[in-house]
Amino acid sequence: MSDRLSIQNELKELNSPLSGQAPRMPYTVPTGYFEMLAGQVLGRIRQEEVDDELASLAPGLLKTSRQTPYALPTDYFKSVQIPVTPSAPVVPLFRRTWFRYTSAVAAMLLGVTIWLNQDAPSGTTGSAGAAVVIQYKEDLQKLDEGQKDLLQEFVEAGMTGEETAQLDKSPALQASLLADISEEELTDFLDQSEPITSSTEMNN
Amino acid sequence: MPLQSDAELLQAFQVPETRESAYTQLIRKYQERLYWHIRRLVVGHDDANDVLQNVLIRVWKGLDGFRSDSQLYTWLYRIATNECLTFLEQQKRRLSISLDQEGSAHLADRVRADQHFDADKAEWKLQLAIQELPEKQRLVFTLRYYDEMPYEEMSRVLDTSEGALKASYHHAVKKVEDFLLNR
Repeated sequence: MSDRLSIQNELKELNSPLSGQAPRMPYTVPTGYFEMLAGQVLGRIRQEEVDDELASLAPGLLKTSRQTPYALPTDYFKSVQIPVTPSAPVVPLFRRTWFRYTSAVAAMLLGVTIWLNQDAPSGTTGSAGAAVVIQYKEDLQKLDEGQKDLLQEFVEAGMTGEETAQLDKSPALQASLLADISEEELTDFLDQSEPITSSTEMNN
Repeated sequence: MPLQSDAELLQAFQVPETRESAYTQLIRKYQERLYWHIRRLVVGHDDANDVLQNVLIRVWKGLDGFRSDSQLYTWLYRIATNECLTFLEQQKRRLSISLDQEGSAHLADRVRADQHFDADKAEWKLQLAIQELPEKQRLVFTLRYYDEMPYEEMSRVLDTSEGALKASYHHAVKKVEDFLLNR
């Protein structure tokens, strides 16, 4: 665009009373108009696209009003209030104290029994097992709440500290896994894959 | 997001993922210039808003086919001007049936009806003078005086030779002068 100066010179040459004045527009625009315009126009564009689509699919529907015909009570949305009533707290079964203690004791008894059966010589199981159970009960009573929680989580997870991933290489399992795979698919897969090494197995 | 160049906006508009954001940027870049160009011609805000939205929808539909051998703002002004002329023509037709009144007189009435109108203020008097001009001179005057558009660009917007535009402008300036001094 040309600059203001050349337009002013032009007006001066024409002896216009407008020369020497900066153009001013007295009209006003509603507040926020320019901030909202792009959104409004995009809304109209989307509406027109929906209408065009409808016109091609089912022109009769275009003439039908899109207003939902259901009536609402007067001032429904102003008056509606969702009642807030205090409800009883829901405590999950696993968080209940009696359940924790019971399951912890039961799990320990089970663990002790298995341990005695594995390590104790035959004939000594009964008396030694009873002594160990008594000792465990006494130890359990010495634990504070936090320690009991940790013990329970450990037992619930079924961990013994010796878990490792095992690769079952039995022919029956391999046969069942490969039952639905064709020879051709297997060949393709093997062509695209590296052979499984012992280090790969270890990482898995 | 910073405003991009016209070329970048046009490129982004071609990509479906960035189409709407490029279009929004384009609107933000040109909306005020286009709005005021339209508003000076149709006077009322509501009419200007209607016309501007129609213009922007036409831009959305036509931007894919825009040839970048002309400037984008020239193309936008051309669409806006045509849309204004169509609107004024429709309005004139409606008024001649219902009110038997000239379009320019009606527009002057619209100026006076503005809630901030003050007949003693020069800027309002100038608006009345502009509405007294014939349509083509009104267009040339506003594009030159307010939008500071060079004649070369204007000739592309209005499809008129530069010489004819200069003559129109001179006539318009003299008529405005006469209105401001003698009325």
